[in-house]
Amino acid sequence: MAVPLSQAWAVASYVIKKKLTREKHYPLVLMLEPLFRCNLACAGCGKIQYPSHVLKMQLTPEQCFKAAEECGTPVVSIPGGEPLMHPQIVEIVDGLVARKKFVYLCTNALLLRERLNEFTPTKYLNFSIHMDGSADDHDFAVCREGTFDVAVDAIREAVARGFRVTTNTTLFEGSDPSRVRAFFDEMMDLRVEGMMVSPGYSYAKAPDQQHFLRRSRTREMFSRILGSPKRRWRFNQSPLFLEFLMGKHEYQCTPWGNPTYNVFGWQKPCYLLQDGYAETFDELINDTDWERYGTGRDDRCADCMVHCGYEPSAVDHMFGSASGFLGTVTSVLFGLRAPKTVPDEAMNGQTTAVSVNTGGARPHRECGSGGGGCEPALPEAQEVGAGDEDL
Amino acid sequence: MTAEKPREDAANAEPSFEHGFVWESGEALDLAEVIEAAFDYRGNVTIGLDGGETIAGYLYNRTANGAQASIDLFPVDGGQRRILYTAIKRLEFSGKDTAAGKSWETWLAKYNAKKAAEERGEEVDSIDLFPEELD
Repeated sequence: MAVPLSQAWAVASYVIKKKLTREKHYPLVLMLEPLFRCNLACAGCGKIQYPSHVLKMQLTPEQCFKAAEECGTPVVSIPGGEPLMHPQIVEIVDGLVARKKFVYLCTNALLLRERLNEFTPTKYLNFSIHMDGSADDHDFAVCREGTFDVAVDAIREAVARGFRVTTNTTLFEGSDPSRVRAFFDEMMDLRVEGMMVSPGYSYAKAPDQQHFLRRSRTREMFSRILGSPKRRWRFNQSPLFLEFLMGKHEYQCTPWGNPTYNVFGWQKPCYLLQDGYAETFDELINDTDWERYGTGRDDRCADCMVHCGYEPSAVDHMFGSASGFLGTVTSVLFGLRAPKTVPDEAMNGQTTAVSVNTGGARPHRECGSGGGGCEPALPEAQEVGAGDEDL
Repeated sequence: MTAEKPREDAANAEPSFEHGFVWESGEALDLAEVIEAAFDYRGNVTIGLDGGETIAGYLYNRTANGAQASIDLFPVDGGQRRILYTAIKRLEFSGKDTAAGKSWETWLAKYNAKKAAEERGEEVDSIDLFPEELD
């Protein structure tokens, strides 16, 4: 297991309770953004582009606790911005831990080493480190040289001090599968508890043929990366979600699965889209027209396969059907199941395995230390692996 | 100082919702459309109210709800304001667009230019990105 049993049980029992009470729009993970300020300036990041007086704003610990109680999820993810820049982040984490919330503090780790002394290792606290690939790829993605080395140093220190540490990685079209596989090896060598991976969110306002194909190419890329996973790789994610990325399953988005709370309120409808804000969690759930969102319903969702929307779908599949449950058990015991074929249009005469440094198409880019890559938590987090070969 | 209107005067021209754009009561352009654009804008706006008050701040939410339609604003000088659409007489995109020039494509162009220069054996400056100082 890549997560403690107590966490797996807390999440599983929570979901089962929701299923038994036939609650349709139940959240899984609270995305708590206590500030938008960051010490990186990743190009295209939509989370940090605000006027100064907004960047100076931050949630108080009391606001954070109230949001956690309103929403009621067993897991709270704290992205941002960079949460370690919040002067009361220790108080926020301690308060959530006291409420028995499993906290994933999503950080770029630039400040982690110097602030580690302020935190206490506990099963309830996990440092989720933003790592977008090996050194060159990560530094390129976050637009600053040397960032990878600082993060690796902090990971080593945190692991040595007994903290739970995971990595969260956002991959965009154009990522090189063999480099990603080597990066996974590198992260496991650091003895992290597990890894999280998600495609980034890219969106161009006018849908066209190229964008319709992007979803298929995402599946192709993840099939190459995860199709024959190594036994030593551990993911803090649902195997059904990883199989979804490879095209094994078709899911519709669950936009209410990871509700987002920040200084503006409860973000409608999801972590990635900003259509407005609700003042309360109940207002978010009850007044949002959820049927408007998702693939085939909203152009902005056409290419999205990000885990903040689709991992909750995978979890619902697991608990909502015998096939989902058996599929999960099979994947955990025998390794991820890739589809036999990847849709033909995936290739369309184009090569997917191009150098990551060529960038690929990113009309809009969401990831970051909190972004697409930091939604943790699911009960069947697992070791994977049938193949031990490099591509 | 009043910013110049950057948009075209031609009757059917699409409005250009950029830094400096101004809407004033009585214009043909629908206020609701301007507010949608202001909601997407990543800079401060300045609102002129019917009583003569002027407020500068970040428009972070709007609720189009008939006669009670309103916007939510974090004023630059602190606090939080809710303002009815009906009270708005002027709206200017007054603060700089904090997203302008910070796209992935811009970074990629810089990165590729740096790589090309390095391959030519030229000395190149760092292109690392850092957050701007907060006012």
